[in-house]
Amino acid sequence: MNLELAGKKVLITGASQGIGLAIAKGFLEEKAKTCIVSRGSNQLYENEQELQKKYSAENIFAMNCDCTNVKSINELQKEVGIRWKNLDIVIINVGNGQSVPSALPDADEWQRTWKNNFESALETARVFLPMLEKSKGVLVFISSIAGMEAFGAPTDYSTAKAAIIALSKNLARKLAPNVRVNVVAPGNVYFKGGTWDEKIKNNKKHIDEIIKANVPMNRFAAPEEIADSVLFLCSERAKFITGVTFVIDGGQTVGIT
Amino acid sequence: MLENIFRLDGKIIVITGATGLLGKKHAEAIACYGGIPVLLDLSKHSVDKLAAELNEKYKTGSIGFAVDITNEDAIKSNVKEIVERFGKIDGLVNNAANNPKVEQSDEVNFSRLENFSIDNWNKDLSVGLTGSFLCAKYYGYEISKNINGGSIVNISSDLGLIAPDQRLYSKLGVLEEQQPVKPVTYSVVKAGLIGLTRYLATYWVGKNVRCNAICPGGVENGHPNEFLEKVSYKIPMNRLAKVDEYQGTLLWMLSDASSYLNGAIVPVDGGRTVW
Repeated sequence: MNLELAGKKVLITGASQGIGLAIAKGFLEEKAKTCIVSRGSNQLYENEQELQKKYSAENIFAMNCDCTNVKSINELQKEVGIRWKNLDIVIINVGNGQSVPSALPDADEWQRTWKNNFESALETARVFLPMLEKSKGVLVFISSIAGMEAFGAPTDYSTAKAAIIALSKNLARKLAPNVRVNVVAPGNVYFKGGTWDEKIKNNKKHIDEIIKANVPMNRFAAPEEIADSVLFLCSERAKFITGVTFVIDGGQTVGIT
Repeated sequence: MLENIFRLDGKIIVITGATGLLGKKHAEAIACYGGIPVLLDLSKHSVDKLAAELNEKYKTGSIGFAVDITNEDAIKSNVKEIVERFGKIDGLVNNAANNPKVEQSDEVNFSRLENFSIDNWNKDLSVGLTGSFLCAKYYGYEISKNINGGSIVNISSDLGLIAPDQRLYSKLGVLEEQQPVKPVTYSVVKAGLIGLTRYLATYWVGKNVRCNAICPGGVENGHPNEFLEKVSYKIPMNRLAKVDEYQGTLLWMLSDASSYLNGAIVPVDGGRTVW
């Protein structure tokens, strides 16, 4: 299947590790150009260097951006505009599921989680939509199955991820036919250094039991499995798909009625 | 106490041209001694990358800004941003300069005085001198507001003290009127920085702001052997500098170790200006 992604210019936020990094690699494999964005950790630049070696320096660059800060996103947009002039695809992947277990987190905690998971996505979309409208591009949000059902994830996180799905549907409807907007909602994704990695280190047996009880396919997803769906949604093969939420969770949500 | 006199703990120090060959080393020295380097250069990508490296290695709160130091408005807003973030500025290293490589072209040699364009003259002076003036005007003024003042270090050059020996750059088999030379702007900018150093050393002296200049010699950086041989002959220590050989002098000038040093023009040149 020819995805026709070669030469496309793709911006990916939250790309220093895990799903974001896997998405970047996926696009590079398809000969697209990528800009990987995160909050300026050394890891980001090490990834940049490694990917430049593998996919050539002109196809990848890293940018430091705090996506919870509109000024920072505007600076990113300016830099992308200078380097690329136009932009075809934006993957909004910034998020952090760490919060408190209480039914209703206090106002400060709520605000922090909301900012990290929803406002960052909203403002990134706001800043980059004009470029996507110009190029008739594609926007993909990474939400979570926690935005669809109450699995026991933190309430504020779950609500923010649900809001992303609502935002996406509204944008999809109102920006059609120019910009396609879709959501990918992953289940439990394992990668080294991720939150599940940490949880497994603390109590492997307990985590194994959770997965067995909740995920029909009885395993974690690999970041590459999420990336594949994102690539498809961004490709010409998905050009009639907009406003959908792709659930990639090994069947976890099927069991919930 | 004595063992800590070179420390820069908690000092906010602005470095221009921070991602260049020497700028990087200045930033590293500051971070290593507990200071917080604020990295300025034209490319946002480069300053962010250097900040990330320093933060990983030295656990400092280094931050980078893409600032064109010839643009007064850009500097004005950058000072505001730094002060909002850190509350103060303690030091400034005026390090940025165009370093025109001695180049040779087939037809006309544009580095030669008789061919040197007013456009290049203006560009070089704009970065090296106007930029340093503007940085002193804004970052320096901010330093002068501290009760204990701070330190400004200007990076001049051995060629701020002596003329370039153009024979070093000459190429065999090239007509005399096409021989490459070190451009006139280099000497003028570097000598100008010495004037700026003396001016600043006295200007805010009541506010405890010291200002000194380093006059570094050339740094070994992949030069052809033929050039290295020729230039070594002019240097008592018989070699160019290693890239990390200015870090000590910089730390000394920025820290309390040099608390009575002011207006000094210090050649660090392996003795080249002595001969």
